[in-house]
Amino acid sequence: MALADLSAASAGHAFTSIYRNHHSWLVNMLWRKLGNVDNAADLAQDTFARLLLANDASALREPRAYLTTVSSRLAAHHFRRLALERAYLDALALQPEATAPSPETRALVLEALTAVSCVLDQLPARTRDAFLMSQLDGMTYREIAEVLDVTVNVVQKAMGKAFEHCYHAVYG
Amino acid sequence: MNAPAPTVIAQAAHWMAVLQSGEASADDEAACARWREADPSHELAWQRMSGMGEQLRSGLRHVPPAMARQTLGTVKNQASRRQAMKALAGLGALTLTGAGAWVVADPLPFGQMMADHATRAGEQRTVTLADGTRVTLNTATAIDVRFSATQRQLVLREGEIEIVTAPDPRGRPFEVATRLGRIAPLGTRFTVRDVNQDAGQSHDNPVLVAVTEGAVAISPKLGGTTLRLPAGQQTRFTATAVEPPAAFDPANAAWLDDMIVASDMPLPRFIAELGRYRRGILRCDPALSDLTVSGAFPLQDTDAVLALLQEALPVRTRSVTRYWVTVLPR
Repeated sequence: MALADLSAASAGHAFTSIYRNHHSWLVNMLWRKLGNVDNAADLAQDTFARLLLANDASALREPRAYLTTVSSRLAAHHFRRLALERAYLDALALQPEATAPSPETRALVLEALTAVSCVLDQLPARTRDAFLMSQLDGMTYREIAEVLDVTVNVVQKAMGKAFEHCYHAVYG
Repeated sequence: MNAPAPTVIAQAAHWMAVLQSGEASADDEAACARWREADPSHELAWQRMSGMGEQLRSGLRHVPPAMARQTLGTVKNQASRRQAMKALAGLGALTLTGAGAWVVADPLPFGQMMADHATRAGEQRTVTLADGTRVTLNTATAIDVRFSATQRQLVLREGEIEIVTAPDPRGRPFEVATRLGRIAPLGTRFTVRDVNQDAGQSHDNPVLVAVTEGAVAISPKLGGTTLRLPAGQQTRFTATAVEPPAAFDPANAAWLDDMIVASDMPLPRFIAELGRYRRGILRCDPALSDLTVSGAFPLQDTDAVLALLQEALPVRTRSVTRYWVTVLPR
């Protein structure tokens, strides 16, 4: 018990020291790159939250390399989310007002869209479309082939690629 | 078990694509079945792949498919990443880490928006009704309260509740209406649970009732016989029948103390249970179905429980985003 407390205390100390020495450096770097101080502060906060949870020794050896890597990933995620949010709100704007989802439902949908977008990242647009038509709309390959104006065989090949890709994204 | 080799994953993807075409023949199905049986790693790759579409759909069930496709299509796959990388020019030591922080506010699932009382994932709340009856809602639960001149009815739309009834000064009978039937308490304290994932993806999972004081009468929606369940017993019922009662298992009421109590619980079931208290998708790799979990775990911090599992068992977690976490063999 005493041992566990000690290691927790020293991990906490290491985190405090990294935070003290590198926080304003990180905010400044993100501010320069993103051009917005609020986003920079939020992303820096998220980055340190990861550091606290990661329990990763390499983070302690090379704090700035670690902070740069993690904040880059979070920034990519942030931009992806922003782009999806704009597209989703545009799509909603075309819907009748009575069917408008609540802000909470919108947030939930946006989270899910971001996750799915991450999983399907790097698939060619056609492959992704075919996969979503099959998995979300429940369309047969013949129907998908007609929409995309390709052969059924092409759709089946694309589906195989998409399944393989998703597998690696989730279990890789 | 070893992780399936890349060639096995490619084969599983091929079979999945063949069987989902909408035109697969009996021969295709037989050939796929033979392939799955040929090696345990084939079967594991297949199991993992099978869950994929369902996981996509469960996340996107609140958005019309066409809108989801349109929205996803507008984000050019790598543009967002390149934009960020350009913004953060260079400097890329590649250390990838797991566990994510949970920052975003917690949305309320769609079906629960319209309920009289509802809790979000991870939330619990106790409400006192007009007659003095106390209802405690467990995570992701929705109830409606319908009191009239002649009746007090509480509708459990989804989730898990504990009810401590109060005698009504006006003598109106009390009942809990569930998807599968009604429960009439006879001066009592009891819990009712209607949680979809209890039976995987199917919708025919039974409702669980456990009585700690007094007794209840259970009437399945389509079945004639009403069963009287006394204190210290629990049972499950479907729309047509009530199962024989069993002794009350205190683990079923552990949530009232903010705990999950498990005794040799298969890991996938434990993860499904833990997932009820988290926002987003939490999945367990089918490869881990032989592991079991025992102990009492706090519900307030499910990230901490996942961290504990990673220390105690040969498992790790992998996060696609903080919204989608999978528990895998280490």
